[in-house]
Amino acid sequence: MADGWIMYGLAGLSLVLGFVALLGQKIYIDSQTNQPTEVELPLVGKLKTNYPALAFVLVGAFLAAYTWSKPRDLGEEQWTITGSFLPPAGENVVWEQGTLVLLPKAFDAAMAPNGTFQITGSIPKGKRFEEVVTSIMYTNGKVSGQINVSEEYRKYGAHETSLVKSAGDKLREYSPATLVVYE
Amino acid sequence: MYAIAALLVPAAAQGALFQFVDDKTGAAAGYVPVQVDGQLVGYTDMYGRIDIHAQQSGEHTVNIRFLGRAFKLQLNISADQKKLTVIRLVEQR
Repeated sequence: MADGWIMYGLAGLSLVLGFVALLGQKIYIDSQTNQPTEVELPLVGKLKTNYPALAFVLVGAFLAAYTWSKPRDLGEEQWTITGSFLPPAGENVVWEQGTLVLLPKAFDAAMAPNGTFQITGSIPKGKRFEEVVTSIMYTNGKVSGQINVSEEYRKYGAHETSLVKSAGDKLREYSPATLVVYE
Repeated sequence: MYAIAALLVPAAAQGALFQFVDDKTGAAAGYVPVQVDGQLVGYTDMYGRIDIHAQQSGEHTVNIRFLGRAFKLQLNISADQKKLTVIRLVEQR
């Protein structure tokens, strides 16, 4: 995005210089015809002006239009999320048979055989994990559980009991979350 | 605008357990956001199930969106609800 601001700055500078030159212009005389230089513009008609001033304005307008038309690429950052789920008392969970999902943004995520997960995913620069993902969920036909990402982060920030174990720059570590049996 | 019919299904679990299904098709309302009193409390799992914890036991307004339709429900959420309550989402015109 810094590139965009530089382009806008150059465009603005060109426009200002061009207008200043146009306002304070001198008439240039063609050496061959001894007539003032004429420029014909669509809609505007014929102008007796100087080329450099007009060129400045046109270049400025072009730069601004070009920068505006370019897609804004804010970039993305790689985040790493780790944690685990605990099976309900007396239940044996085969972790690979269930599904680990992050909502509402989809990440590639899978449970390890020991009930832990490590997720890596791209998030737009300047955004927190909690602004993109609101829930981490594990589910199979019998048990289910979820980590309410936003709420747990709020509790962590308020120094309340939270599933967030540590929150670093582009890193979240969650304490084990217990699953619930649905039968 | 919308009404519900609730069926009780035996279950052995802890917390206030709900399952949302489409009354018309019987399809589970999977992975839909669930709001309790205007606050997002989580998402249903792929079977339309969710374990809801409310601040206080009693009647709460629950909003869910499923297949582009919005449902507003009044549900009794207790702190220690042992049974899974199946909520059939019925659209009224």
